[in-house]
Amino acid sequence: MRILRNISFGQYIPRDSLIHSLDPRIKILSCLAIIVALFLITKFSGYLILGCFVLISIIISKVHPKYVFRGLRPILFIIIFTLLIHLFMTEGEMIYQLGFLKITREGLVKGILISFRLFILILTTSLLTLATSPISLTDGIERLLSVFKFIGIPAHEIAMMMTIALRFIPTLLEETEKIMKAQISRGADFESGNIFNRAKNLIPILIPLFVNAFRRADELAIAMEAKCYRGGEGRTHYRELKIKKKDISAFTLTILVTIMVSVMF
Amino acid sequence: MFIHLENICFTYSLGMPFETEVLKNINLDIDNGEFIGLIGHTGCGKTTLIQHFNGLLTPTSGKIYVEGIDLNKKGTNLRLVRQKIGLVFQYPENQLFEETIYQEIAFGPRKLGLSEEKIEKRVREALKMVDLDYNLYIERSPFSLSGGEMRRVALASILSIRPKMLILDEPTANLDPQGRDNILFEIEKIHYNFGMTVVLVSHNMEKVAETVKRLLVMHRGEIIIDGAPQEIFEKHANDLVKMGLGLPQVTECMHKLKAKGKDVYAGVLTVDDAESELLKKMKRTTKK
Repeated sequence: MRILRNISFGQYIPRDSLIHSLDPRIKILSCLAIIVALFLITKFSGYLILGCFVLISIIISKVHPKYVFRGLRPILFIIIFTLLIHLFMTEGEMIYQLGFLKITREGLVKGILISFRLFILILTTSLLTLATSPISLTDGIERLLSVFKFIGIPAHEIAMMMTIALRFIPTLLEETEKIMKAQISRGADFESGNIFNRAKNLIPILIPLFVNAFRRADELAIAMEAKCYRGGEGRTHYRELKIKKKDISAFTLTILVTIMVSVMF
Repeated sequence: MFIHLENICFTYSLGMPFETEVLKNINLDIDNGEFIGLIGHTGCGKTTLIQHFNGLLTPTSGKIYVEGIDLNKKGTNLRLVRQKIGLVFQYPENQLFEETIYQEIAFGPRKLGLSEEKIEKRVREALKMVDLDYNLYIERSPFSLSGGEMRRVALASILSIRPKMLILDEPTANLDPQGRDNILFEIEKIHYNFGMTVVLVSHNMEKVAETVKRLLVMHRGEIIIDGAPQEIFEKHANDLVKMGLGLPQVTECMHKLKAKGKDVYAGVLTVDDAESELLKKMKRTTKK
């Protein structure tokens, strides 16, 4: 049951910092810029510069690096896996042999580069969610998506769905934990048995969870209707997003750095 | 001694930004056959504490023994312990999942690997304990029941494991007064007829206090008062009010009389007790 409590990806940590106070749109676009740059860079030094840029942002955000790096834990396996694949599967100049496995210089370089790419990718997105409250994040997404309204993208509806989903993640996690505990108290066993038995053992968790989620969705829909919710048209915002000077300078800086690293390296 | 707790401390989300100390140095002994009420304000750690009893939570520090078995030693078979201690969660109707009530109640015994005959016997027994008719109910879907019935089925699904001890977290929450009285009556019956050890967790003084024989009062993660309900309501009335727990209406009334200088015993729990106490005192004054 500990597993459910330790999900830090997507968690928001409130702090009073420059990064927190930036406009969410700026943060999302900056993140996108960094991600695009990550896939354009081909040299190690480029990753180093971009990595430093992200690290400095983490320090400015006042969020303890511990939390940011915790986001890496779930994908550590993927990073190691890709590193190994690249290490052994790339043809080239051999530097070490281990039985039938060959490690090549090219493989080593490529593996490390890819690992760095994933590493920085996760750090950047973790920082985005750690330093932006879910509400302002979806506000930002709504405003960004509304640019595409003319091709029929329902920006408000998407944002509303995201808000609701984000809002209910902790609730559902908590509920899953509670139901698990209740069923364990009734004699259920989630820890032993083969994979089929384990899958079958999930039924006592999933059915109550779904029943409760549907009931909750129903209640939420009625509550929203009672508050006269009728979609995004003509809806005003309590928090208006405004681009300020610091947003412009932060965005310019990010764009400059990303363009520089992707062109030069 | 059935359960023995030694210096239990528990902290939620240890090492996370929202770290909170929920239990502080809890020492507690529960004997076989006791009928205990655990009361305290919402968020005082009641639910967290009872989840330690059957090993669902592991204390940050301290030791728990159930019938002499150390719960947190490596290799302790917690499933055996959970079979001895039936824990009924708050809103237990939210964990129903089977197609029929029979299957629902048979879930626990089936997990114990019993034969089909024995399972049927236990389902009968459990339904009887919660006063539901076997033939009328077994084929029905648990989702077609009323709130009170669902709760009784959920209770039966724990009773079918035949625990030695029953812990109920807010068993009367969200029920109408009649449903509440019914459930409390079933629980009392189970205690008296089967000699089961019962712990009743609640934030509501009324009713619970008059049902149980020993009362534990929790406040901010500590058990601060432990004793017979009458004694507690007589001596610690002010503390309880200060904690925001309040007293049963009739007890409060007696305390008010006492504050006005009347010589009455304030530790009464029911209207009947209050009546006889008052009559007794009135007779004495008229005789004088």
